[in-house]
Amino acid sequence: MRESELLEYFLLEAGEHLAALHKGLKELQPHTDNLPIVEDLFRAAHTLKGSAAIVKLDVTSSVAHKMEDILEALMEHRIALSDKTISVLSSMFDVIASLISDLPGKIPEPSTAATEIIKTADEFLARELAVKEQKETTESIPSQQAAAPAPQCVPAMAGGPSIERRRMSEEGDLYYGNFIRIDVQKIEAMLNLIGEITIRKNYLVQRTRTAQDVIEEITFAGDRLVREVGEYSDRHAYSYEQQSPERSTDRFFAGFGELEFDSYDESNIFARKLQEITNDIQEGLKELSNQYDMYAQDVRSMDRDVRELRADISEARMLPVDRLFQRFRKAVREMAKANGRQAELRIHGGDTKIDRVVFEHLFDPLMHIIRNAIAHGIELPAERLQKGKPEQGEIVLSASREGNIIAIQVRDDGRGIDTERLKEQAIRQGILKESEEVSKQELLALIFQAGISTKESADQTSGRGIGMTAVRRQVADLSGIIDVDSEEGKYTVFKMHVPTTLAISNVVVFKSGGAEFAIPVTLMEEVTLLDIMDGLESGHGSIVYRGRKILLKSLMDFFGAAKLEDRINKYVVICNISDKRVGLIVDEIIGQEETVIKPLNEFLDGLSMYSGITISGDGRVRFVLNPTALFETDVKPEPNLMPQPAETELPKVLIVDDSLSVRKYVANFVQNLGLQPVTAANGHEALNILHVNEISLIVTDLEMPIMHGYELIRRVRAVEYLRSIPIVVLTSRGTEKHRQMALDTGADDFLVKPFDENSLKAVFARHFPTAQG
Amino acid sequence: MNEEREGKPTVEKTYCVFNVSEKEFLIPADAVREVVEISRIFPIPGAPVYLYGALPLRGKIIPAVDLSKIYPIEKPAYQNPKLLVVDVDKESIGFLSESSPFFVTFDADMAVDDLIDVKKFFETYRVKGTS
Repeated sequence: MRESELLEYFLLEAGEHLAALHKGLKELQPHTDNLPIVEDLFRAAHTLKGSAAIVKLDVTSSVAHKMEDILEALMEHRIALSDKTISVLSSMFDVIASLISDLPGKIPEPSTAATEIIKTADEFLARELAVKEQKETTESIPSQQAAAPAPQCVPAMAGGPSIERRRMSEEGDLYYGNFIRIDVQKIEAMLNLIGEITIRKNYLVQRTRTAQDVIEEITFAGDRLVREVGEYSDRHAYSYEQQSPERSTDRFFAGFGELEFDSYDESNIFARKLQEITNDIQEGLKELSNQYDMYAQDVRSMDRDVRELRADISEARMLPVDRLFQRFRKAVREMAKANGRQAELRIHGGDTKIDRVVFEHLFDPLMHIIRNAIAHGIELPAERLQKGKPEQGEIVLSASREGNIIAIQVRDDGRGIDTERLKEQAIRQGILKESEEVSKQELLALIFQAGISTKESADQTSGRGIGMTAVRRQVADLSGIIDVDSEEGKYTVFKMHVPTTLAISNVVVFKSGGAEFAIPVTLMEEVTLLDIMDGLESGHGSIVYRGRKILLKSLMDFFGAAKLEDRINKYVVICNISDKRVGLIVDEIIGQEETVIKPLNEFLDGLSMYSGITISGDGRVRFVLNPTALFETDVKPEPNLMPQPAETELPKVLIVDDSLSVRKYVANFVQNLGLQPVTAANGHEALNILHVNEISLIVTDLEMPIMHGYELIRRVRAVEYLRSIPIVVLTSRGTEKHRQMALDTGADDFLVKPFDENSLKAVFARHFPTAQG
Repeated sequence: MNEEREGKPTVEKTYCVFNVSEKEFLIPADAVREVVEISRIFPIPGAPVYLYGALPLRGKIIPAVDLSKIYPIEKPAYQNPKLLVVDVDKESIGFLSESSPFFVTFDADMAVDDLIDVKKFFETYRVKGTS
């Protein structure tokens, strides 16, 4: 490996160690038991020393070495952790940082600062060691903090590996380690690729299902063929007894015995040939079915592999959330100071892993919440003492993983949220009516509303009342949700739920008004069928479901496509949008899938009800809805913003026939007329389709398995909302008796197979005067 | 090449011509990325009327603009429309055209009517936020 390359790797690595050192130094508190932090610092300094030595950065290495010495002395309690110790370590860190940042292009390293700091460190260490030996009688520490008793006792490190051993093993890792470093961009590229593969794979899985249906149809038709032919052959393959009348009367054949005719009978030969061919077909079908099973199996295992691959690579892009949390330490300290408060940040679950991108996007919302906690939450020290709370307030940042979701909480032990004040403000602004009964939870959720703040006047850090609305939006942009809980005088806690990764999302796809939409499952609570009898004026309103109020919106109404008329058995997608539960009334649920959510084209950025788009494996575009924006009162598509007529808004013709070829033929015919065909193999299937689709015309066969055509017609005519659909019978039973029976049962037209296209056209022209064709 | 043959150096500019109903529009050729046949186009619910739909193209979606909803043009039939895809900075948008777009070259100093400044168009007609 070339030296410059080595150096590049060193720089990559050094950045991390410097960050670790920086973090650790900030966390160090004098006179407390900081052993875990000191150990972390020791490890970082130690590794840095080793790697610097490899790339011959001897100065950097020697400063790191000296740091290591001091940290080691700390770990072994040979010296005390005082302000002075921290300050020496910090200046050493500064020297190392500046040495490394100067590096590119500057070798050998400049060393005056380094020599000086090493000298300082040496002197410091020597002095401290001497002091400790004198039974720590004269520790040179400033005494401002001495008011708080500092525990000097440190647990003994019994049983742990010796420091020397630790030094050895880490050096070993450097040379023979199992780790390599990868540029984040590369992982990103791999993830994008996996996203594309996932979409392809989904399509493949979907096509296997379609193929499965076709195979079932062929097998069904094949079985029928085999049965029919079998019966025919049984009757005709050998006709010993029966003699055709023509033959017996024919003079020419009169002299032959019956046996002599059998093998030459044309229908006998045909029957036998048919039997043979049918056997071949049956064999072929069996083989096809076997092959297909294996293929489907392969697709399934590929499906599994892709998922695993995806999980593994996503994992590689994950960071412990601690790194994000650490950034708030300094901020908390400074903001507390500026506001005259005392506050301490505690972190739980810092090792929870989170996607780098999610991680970056969480910074702003968290910062805002923490700022609020200090400015409005935590009381002034005097007030806290009065209330019997410790002078120093506490902000707890915690993270935990729940499946594909990360739960992040910010909790402060301050004064909590004054719900009465929220209520007053909401009433003043007309958001609430005075007489309205509202639960505490609903009142708390008001803080996500624009214009509401618990702080009386805006100050530099917070209190403008738009803050929490922005926070909610930022979290929603991540397909996450945020909730709040509080008890007055005791605490406030914000709970966020965000996906662990943004690379690939699980979405539920559904149809409304002919367009397909998607919603990330992280935002969804459930999909349910509801009768929406009342409470829905001009497309929106609310209902109580499972004891909770749910705001409803009909997606079709929202986009101005159509009024919601049929209110029975509607699909409702219930989502959690932080402060409330909302339900979207949609036409049809297509299913759940894994996909990549891509950002909207900038030209469409203003469509805030969408958070992105996804493209299905077969190239269909779905807009990803952002329910938070959809239910924000100020977001409404302008009246002139109407959706385009969609391909599925064509009138649907239901074709019911047990023969695949008839279905295909008629479907093609229907399509050519500019109508949309829907097919079913029997009356039962047809009824299922009729219940969920708006059908303009039914074309049905009479003889079908499971449920025949007469029964279908009878049932359609018996149901109120299906009654008026015209029915065309298309059958091979051409007798007047059948015709009369069909018309009596309720058919409107009667066509006999084989039919000529013109008569079918004539029938369609009657029912669809505008159809082209 | 032309310049040499004609003996005098003139600066020329190439435009892409497309039409909606009876009206022809021009777009600087260097902004044109490609011309695609429209096989399937998807509605953009909630978008302004001049957005005819969205077309997926190599993993991205291209909003298709119907200029007849912006300019006073007779309603086009769009029997077999083409989409003229143009690049605007890092994004792409498309214009519906009733015929196959073609290229013409004029002297650069010639004033061209019905020229669409794509950048300006993008800024003017991009969907603005409602909040």
